[in-house]
Amino acid sequence: MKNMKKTKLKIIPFSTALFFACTTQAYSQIGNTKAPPDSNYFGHSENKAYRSLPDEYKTPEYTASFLQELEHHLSADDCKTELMHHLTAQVDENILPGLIVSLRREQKIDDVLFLSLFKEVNEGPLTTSPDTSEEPQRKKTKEPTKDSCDRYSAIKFARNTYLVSKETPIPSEFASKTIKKSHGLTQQVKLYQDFDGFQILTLAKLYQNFSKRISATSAEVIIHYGTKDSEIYALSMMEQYRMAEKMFHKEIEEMKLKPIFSGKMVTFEDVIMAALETGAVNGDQINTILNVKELWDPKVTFNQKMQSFMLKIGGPAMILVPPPFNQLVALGVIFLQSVAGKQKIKSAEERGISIF
Amino acid sequence: MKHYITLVVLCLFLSKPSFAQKEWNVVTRDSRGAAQITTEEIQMNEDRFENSDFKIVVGKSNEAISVNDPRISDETKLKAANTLFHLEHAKKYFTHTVKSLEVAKLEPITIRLEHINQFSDLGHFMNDAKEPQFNNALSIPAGVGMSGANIAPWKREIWFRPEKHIPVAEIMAMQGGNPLNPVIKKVRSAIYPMEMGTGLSNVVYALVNPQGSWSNTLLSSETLQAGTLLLFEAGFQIMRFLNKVLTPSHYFLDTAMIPEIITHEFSHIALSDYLELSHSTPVIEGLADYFSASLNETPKLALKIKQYSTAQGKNGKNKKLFAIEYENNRMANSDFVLSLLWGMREVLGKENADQVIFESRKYLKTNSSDIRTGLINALVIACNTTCKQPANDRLKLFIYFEKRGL
Ligand SMILES: [Zn+2]
Repeated sequence: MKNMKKTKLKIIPFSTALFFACTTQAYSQIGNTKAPPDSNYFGHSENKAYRSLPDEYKTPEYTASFLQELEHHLSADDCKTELMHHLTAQVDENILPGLIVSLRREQKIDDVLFLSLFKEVNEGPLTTSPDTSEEPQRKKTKEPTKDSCDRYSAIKFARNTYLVSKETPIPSEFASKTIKKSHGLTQQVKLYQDFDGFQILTLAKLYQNFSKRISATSAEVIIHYGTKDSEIYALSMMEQYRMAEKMFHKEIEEMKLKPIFSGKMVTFEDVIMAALETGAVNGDQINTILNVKELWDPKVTFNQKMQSFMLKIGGPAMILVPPPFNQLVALGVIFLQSVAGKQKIKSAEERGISIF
Repeated sequence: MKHYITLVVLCLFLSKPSFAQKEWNVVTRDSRGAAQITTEEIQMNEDRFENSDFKIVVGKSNEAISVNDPRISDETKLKAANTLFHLEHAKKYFTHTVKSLEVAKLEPITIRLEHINQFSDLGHFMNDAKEPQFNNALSIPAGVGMSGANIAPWKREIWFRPEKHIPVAEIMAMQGGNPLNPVIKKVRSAIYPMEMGTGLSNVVYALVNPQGSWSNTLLSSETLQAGTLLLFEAGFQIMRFLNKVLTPSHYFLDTAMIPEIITHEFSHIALSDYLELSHSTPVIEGLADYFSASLNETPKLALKIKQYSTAQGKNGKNKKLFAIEYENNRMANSDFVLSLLWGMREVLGKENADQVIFESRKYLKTNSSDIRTGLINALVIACNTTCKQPANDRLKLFIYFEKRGL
């Protein structure tokens, strides 16, 4: 017993180490030393930039004055060029990334703006000779991406034009929670990193459609028989809700086929985040909405799987096992059913009492 | 000066009906939910069980029971005090907590104790020769009467039947035959504390349902039909064995002594501005159960009260999965709707749940609203106007109903 435990423990760190070895190698091959891939911003390069920042720039007074400069230039139309000229004229380009990190650490700027700026100063052509750069590969892969300053203004535009309620969206834990498998990115930053303003609007629209459908006063299915005859089936509220849920799921999946997404993976969480950012949904509704996914992606525990298996074979066993032993089986099934009160239940649709 | 004050006090006294606080023994629940007798104050007329809200009478009488009447037994007086106490509690809940203006405007309700006549919507009471009724309670709608037959018009009333101890063996002797027979099932489930339950019927359902499970490939449909009956009987026999230990030898139900039955009946009255008293459906019974549970702050109805009942109580805490069988009127006494509504308190908070559920009566039809379409529809519409955050709460309700198998 003891031995088994030990070997198990050994395997885990080894495989993790192997994974890291592979990934770091891959990164260094693509990006050389400068400009790591997007997903790696938060972490290594961020810390490095901050460490390289001289102490006098880390004071709250300095970051406050720096922020004022930023705000002035972000509101200008040709924000990118002007901002960059200004910044590079004032601040040593080597400490600029660190300065931006310090702004975020002091919570002067949000994750979205941070990402835009950090990307800008880290990858953007700060000098006017991009052709001599040692990393032509990166340029190629980044081609379709708009520059981050444009992107940020696109988001601002999206927020201002698409806001459902005039109030600013209530922030939610969901937006600032880091996602697994994404190197510590938060849901919010991931959204802005993966999608541009127009795409975010499209995603938010998916949620809006769902929301509209579930609040519709009635829904019907009309069957045309080709003749003058037709049949109208009025959906119940629950059927209408499940139909809306299924349409929502289907539309998220179909996004992969849309040219504007060019095969990009769209997740349920992306859609919810887009809805949150554009004000189509409020932060205090997020926890409810996250449960919507249960229908097409239910959580099933091992115990539940086991119980449902036992119940499935228990039924026939009651008939097939000769008496008086079948009574024992029946007792077992009754017991299991009473214990399994909280198991994942079959939906009304699966049980044939609902058409959706 | 002294005379002046006495005069004012006297005037105040005379201007109001002479109701006074009186102390009487009544049945209440202790902290663990068990029945107990405690002494409580009751607002009533000097010497009669009557106040501005209720009048307690015996049988067909129209006179409120007098405290000093030697012809009325102490037991009946205890029942009068008990019903009056719980009815006042129920009315206060509807006017104060649910804030129903309709209930506040209710006419005085006549309460009949030890009443054995059947109800007639034309003649108020059926002929004495008709089979007398026991172990039950009901609320009756108002009627216009028949002047020719000397039957006066009547308002809404609540009737409590006397208890009658019926030997369980006698009821069992009436049974036999197909255990799926609804009448037999109903009798059995009323008698036995442990119901055969949905557990077994779910298994049976899985077997009979063509898409249910792989078991169809093993068994032909004839075997299934025969097997279903066998299965029910096998399950029943096991339950019967267990019940032998648990079931008392007699069946009885003293409705006027059980707080939750009294408040259930008043809930019917409170809902009757939209839901007529002439019908008993799973939805209507479930709503009355919910308000009885809510005003008593417990989802356990008529349980832990062995001295007055051997009937099966209800427990709204059991989160049963919806089954189509619950729509049947013969299942009107199942506790599914109670548990469905009780679960809404976790979703909306109890105050808001009370409001939404009470409001839903406006969107229900007395005899045609079922659970899966009528009730759900009414609750969702009620939420639009009564929920704190309609959009969010409506979605919460959808997710909750989905989890309950609707
Ligand atoms: Zn009832």
